[in-house]
Amino acid sequence: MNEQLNTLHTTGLAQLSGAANLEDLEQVRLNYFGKSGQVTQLLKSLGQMDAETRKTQGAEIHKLRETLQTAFTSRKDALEQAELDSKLAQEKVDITLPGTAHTTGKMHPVSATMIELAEILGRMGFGHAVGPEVETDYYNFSALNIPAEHPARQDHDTFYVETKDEEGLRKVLRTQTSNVQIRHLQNNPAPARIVSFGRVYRHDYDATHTPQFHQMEGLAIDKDLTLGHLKGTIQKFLNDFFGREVTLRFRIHYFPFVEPGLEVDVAWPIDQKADEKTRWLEVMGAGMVHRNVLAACGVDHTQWQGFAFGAGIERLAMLKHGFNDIRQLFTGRVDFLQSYGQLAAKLTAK
Amino acid sequence: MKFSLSWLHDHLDTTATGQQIADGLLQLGHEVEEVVDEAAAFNNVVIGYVKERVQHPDADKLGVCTVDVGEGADRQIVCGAPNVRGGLTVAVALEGATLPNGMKIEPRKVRGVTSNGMICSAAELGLGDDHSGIMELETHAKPGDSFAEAMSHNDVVFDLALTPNRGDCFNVRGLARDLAALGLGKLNEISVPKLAHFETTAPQSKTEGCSYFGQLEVKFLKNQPSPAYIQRRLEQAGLRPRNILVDITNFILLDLGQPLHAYDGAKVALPLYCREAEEGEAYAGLNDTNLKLNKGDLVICDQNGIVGLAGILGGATSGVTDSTETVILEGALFNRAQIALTGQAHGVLSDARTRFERGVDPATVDLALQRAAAMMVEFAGEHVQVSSLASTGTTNVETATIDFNPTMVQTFGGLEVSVKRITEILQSLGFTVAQNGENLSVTAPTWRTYMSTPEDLVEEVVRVHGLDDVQPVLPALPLAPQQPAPARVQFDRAMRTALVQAGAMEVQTYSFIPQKVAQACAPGVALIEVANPIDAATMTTMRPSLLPGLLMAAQENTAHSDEATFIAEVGTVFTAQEERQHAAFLLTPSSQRHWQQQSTAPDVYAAKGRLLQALAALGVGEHTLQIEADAGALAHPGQSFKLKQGKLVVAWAGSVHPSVLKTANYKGKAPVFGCIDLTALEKVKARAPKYAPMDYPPVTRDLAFVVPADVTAGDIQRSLTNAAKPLLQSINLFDMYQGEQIAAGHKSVAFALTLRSADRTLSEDEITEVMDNCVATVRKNYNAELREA
Repeated sequence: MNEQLNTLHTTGLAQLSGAANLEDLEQVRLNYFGKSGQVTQLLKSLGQMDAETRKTQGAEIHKLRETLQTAFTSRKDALEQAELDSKLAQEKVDITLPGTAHTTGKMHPVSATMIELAEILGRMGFGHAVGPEVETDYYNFSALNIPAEHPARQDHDTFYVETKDEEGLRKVLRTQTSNVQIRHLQNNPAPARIVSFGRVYRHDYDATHTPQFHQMEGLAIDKDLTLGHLKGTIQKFLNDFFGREVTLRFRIHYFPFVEPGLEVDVAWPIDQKADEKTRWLEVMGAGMVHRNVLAACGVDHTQWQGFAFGAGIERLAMLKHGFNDIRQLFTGRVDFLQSYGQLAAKLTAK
Repeated sequence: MKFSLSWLHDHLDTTATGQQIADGLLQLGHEVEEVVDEAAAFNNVVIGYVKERVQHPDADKLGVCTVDVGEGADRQIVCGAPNVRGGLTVAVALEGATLPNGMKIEPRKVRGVTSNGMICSAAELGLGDDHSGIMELETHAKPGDSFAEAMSHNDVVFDLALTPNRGDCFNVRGLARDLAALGLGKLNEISVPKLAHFETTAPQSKTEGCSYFGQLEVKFLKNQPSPAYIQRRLEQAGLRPRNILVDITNFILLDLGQPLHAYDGAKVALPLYCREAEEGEAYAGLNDTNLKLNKGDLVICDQNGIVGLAGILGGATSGVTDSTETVILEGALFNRAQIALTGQAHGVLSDARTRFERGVDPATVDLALQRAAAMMVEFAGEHVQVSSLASTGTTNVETATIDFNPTMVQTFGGLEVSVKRITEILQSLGFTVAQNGENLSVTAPTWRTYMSTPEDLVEEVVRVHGLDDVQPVLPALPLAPQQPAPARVQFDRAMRTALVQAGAMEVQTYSFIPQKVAQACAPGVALIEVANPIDAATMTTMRPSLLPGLLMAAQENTAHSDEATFIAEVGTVFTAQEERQHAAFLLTPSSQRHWQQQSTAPDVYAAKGRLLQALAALGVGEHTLQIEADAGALAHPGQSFKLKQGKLVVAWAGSVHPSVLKTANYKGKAPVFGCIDLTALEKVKARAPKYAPMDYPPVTRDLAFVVPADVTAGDIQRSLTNAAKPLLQSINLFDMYQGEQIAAGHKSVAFALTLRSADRTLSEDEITEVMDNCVATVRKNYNAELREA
């Protein structure tokens, strides 16, 4: 009996490992484990043995069955793996062929910059306000303390349109986003903390000027805001925008709608690689809102005071992203936008 | 405004350097655009003394000079100038000097002889055109002294961008006064002799627009070139010297800020007077400026007519010439607003206008007249006689007295500074300060007519004390909730993001487009025309649509051999009625070929897909909108559509109309576009479907019909949707065929209907009932035949 088991053990293992493919292997399996397979027969024979023999022989037979089963499974796994490997090898393709083509969208650098600025100022408590681009003389000038005879009007290089307002004055393409200050305060009681973004127009077209560009205008009106709060707000806002502590220079300047008024310069490396040497670049205008402007909005200047600040979006975008021809922004050239446009995802992930 | 440091020294006693002055001006609120240090051009150029010249051994025209440049040992310098000789004092450029033409000086050999420097001609130093020989200097300076200092080429020229509120600083004296207040020196007194050799015919004013008219008559003049220092100062200030009489009025304008006008006494019939012009009066001014005057323009007249546009532009024929012997000098005060409005209306810019409309100091007019006359006596002839000053009106003005609470410097200006310091600063600027209870009573000087509010005074204190001492602090965040952004801002941002995520390149194009194109996009609509376009051909009309800008952008890319296959813009569009926010995209055929993908030119269905994708990103599902053929003038009438909600048109898309392409001069292959009216979208009810968990299996059945060709897919789909309710979960048109296998004038359309219930597995009977109902409905409504699979 033991002789028979030993033979089965030896030939079984040899046949299993000798099976060249899954079909052969199945034949071997049937030979041992099929209905009339040799191991199946042995197991069946257990029933006819006496208890003592069954005890000793039974253990041996089960051991043989297990050994052959394990060998079968492992041979099957190996053959399947080999078959799969061979199939995969046949399915190999040239992965250097081009992938399916899709276009990549980018947000225009000006749009992306406006959104980024809005987010920074949003964290600082500034909500949004909007206003029209074709504006009346009143909202673009007079209400901002720039009457018709004011010499500051010369600095604005205004575009006029043929459409007239209710007073019979030609409307203008707004020269600044400051018009939104007035419209907001007239319709919303103080206090105020808003920022407005949008297109503005000046009659100027050369290497550093385009007849349209974008501005932002912030306004904060409350009981006790001072020039110190204005300086703090601008420092924080520019620090956040440039992502570093920027060195600023505040200079007294004149804008008719603020008093005192100031301009803000940022110390900018002359050479990006060696940033010890800097020059001053003007980035913003700002000031304490003029009492005449508050009056035009129906806000009592003895109760309320505050500040306004404005900046050119293109300027900020150019400084941050390092391109230098403003005219490129409005040509729609996709090669430029591919380089300087922003991915939509970055806006939320930042 | 440009002026030199040496001119400033006339008025300001100071030892401050050019850089210190520039820093001071900047702190005071005067933007310094440029500081030119003239001496910088003469670095390492020194005075030299030529001891002797000997002939160069190998060159006829060269001399070898022994030159003392104050080093103890003499230098050997080779020089080819014909006038070089022993005993001359010369300018020597030493090693390290860079001449204006870019030549760097270093020791070198000239035909075998070492030359340690270069003896310079005027041209070589950028001091004129003379290169015929070296400069022969007359100076008491010693060899080795700086050439720039010895020859007074060490001035510093400042170029300021002055703000319009500082009319008082459009002259050297005004700037000196401001700098003195900062502590950068002491303002010098001016004294001018009051001459009165004879009487002149007094001028008159017939209008309130001229509150003062002062006149001096100066006789026996001999017009001639100005002395060098006046010419130099005018040149440094950017003005061309002409002759002494004209130069003096320019000099006084820059020196004291009072515009004067000099008439040739032989060409005007006194008395002069000022009046308002009549509507339409003609005026011939200098430089061939011919104007048709408006009512209210101020003019100066003599007995024969208009001789000057007051405060702005002199007359064509009454001015000073080289042969002028008698001058009538006008020094007047004009209404600021009138000058500004006249200047604007006629588009005339002049130095006089700049000053009058910003305000001149009334207390300076007479001084300016007398100073000009004194200069004529000094420089314009030996027997000059000056009349006594004749005038009409007054130079007295009342300036504002401001009740000033000095704590405002802190509560408004954020600057902590004592009342004593505040008072000092205001006084140093010429304000009169008196105590008025807790407050100060502050009266502005005559030259600061803009001063009217306490905030103005806060600025004065802050700018003189220094803005740097205002401590930056952040305002506290209010507890009140921040208002959400207006819908316009939210839609704008969401739409940009959606388009970009869909693969569009966002562009920004100009708001102004050619009128022809604008009209083609919005026929019959009143548009906004720019009155003064920057380009009269292409930037005339405010865009009523974003499409033309996108077409131009696409063309611009094509012109640079690039492709804009999917570009989009979000922005404002304009009609005379209103402004709206639009989002638009343009799809153009790509010439790119792919080894695997079949390239197809984008058609109306491509546009429709992109449009619905963008709308869906904003939560507006197709099922909430109705479709209607033809998007209007912009689009191909048979290949475009509008999406509406009720009467509200929300979006449109299609192939661009060939006539629009032609008008826009578009050369490329036919593009398609889509546009969403974001302003309309604000009013759309989005009705996002509610989520309901679906646990029972869906069943999908296909139906194909043969229908007459003019039946639309949308109609059949609508019928099927109604017939399959409420079990229909989705319906998808997956095939459309027209051709040989179908009867002529017919087409086959196939739909996949997915049925599903939230509360049970559908039985075969239920499904059959629904499908039978669908087939029956379509058969009945469209004369359709079911096409067997």
